[in-house]
Amino acid sequence: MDVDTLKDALSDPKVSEESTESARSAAISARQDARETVSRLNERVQLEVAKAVGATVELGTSGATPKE
Amino acid sequence: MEQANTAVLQPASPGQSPEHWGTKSFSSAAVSVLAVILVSVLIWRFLLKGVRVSLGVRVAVYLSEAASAVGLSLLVSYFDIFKKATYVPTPSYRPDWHVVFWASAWASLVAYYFVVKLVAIVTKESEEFKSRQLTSDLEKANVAVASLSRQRGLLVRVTSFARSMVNKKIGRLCALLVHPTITTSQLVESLNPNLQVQANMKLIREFFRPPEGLNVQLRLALWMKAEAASGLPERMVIAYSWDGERENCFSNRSAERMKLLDPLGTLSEVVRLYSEPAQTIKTIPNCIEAAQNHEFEFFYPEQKQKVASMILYKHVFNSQTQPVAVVLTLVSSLPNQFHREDEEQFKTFLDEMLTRIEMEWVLLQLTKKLGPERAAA
Repeated sequence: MDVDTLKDALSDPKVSEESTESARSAAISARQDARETVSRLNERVQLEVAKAVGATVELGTSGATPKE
Repeated sequence: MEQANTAVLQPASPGQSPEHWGTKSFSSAAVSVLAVILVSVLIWRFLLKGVRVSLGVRVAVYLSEAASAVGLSLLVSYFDIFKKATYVPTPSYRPDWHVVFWASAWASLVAYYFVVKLVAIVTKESEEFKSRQLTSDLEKANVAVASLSRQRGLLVRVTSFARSMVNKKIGRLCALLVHPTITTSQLVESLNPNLQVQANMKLIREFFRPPEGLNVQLRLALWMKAEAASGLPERMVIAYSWDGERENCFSNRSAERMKLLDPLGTLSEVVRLYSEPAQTIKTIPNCIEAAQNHEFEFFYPEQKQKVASMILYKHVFNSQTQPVAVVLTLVSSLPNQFHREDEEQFKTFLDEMLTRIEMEWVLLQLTKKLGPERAAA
């Protein structure tokens, strides 16, 4: 691996501005995407919890005891 | 007649009355107590379960506790069970089998009161103990849930950031698809590895960037081993640095401390990490605290203003053929910006991004080899 090639690419002034802009816009889009995904996952978890709690309440009111 | 009266009025203590009423009644009471206790032992588990599970049983047992206490008092006062005169024959009162019966009834009530009181204490105490245990378990579960949520959030962010640059590249390449024919130059320009290398490196800093509105300086640096030169010892140098606005954002005042072999000992964290295996990560959440604990050293006093929290990560490019080791550092002026519990997620992200940079680096070298054909195209 030619280290100079990497160094030249990193300090290439021709793409400096574009790379900054590209990274910033990608970060904005990634943050938004992550927020939406986390929100979806949280909704899913809440739904699962609600289902589990509902099942427990039904079990309690029916007088049945869970098998050990 | 007078003699008979004298015999009747002779003083006697309980148990010594002519017909042993005291002995009879207390023996009977003892048998009753034993019987109630025996029955309680036999039904103890069902009784406890009933009190715990059924509200009706619970109310009945707790209510009967108070009722038995009242019953005890009534029996004692109405039948004079404990009055000495009850057991000593007197002209006005002569005990009979009723005394034996009611003494047994009283004793049974005493035993019953004892049993229900015990049931109440056992259930209430065990419930309180269980409640404390559940509270403690709930607190632990809440901490675990918060930790898992944080980890999950970070991993989602890692995936989103890693994907976002690929999406941009896909967009550029798909734009070429509309052309019926393309040249090598067009393909190379769309791949644009130079842009990809820089953008990916800058995206690493964006990932760690603190929220807007905070006056925090966050600097990224990629350290590599300097080319060997005559008379100069091997040392680590910054190949690239970026603070979000400009490159070369490090003063280079610590250059003397970056020697890979120093007779005075290694003081730099960068040099220390360079000797570690690939993918080693080190997080220093609070550099001032670490310095107080002799786990970190500032090279000059002004450094405390700029270096408050750090991440160091060792990566090896192309480890299969000709390995090139680098150390990537993120230095924040905000104490506790980075946390040790997030290290695994940070490592995943840095490994992912540096692997992408390596791919672009390989592509860059390949496109350079295209030279003559590219010109011809």
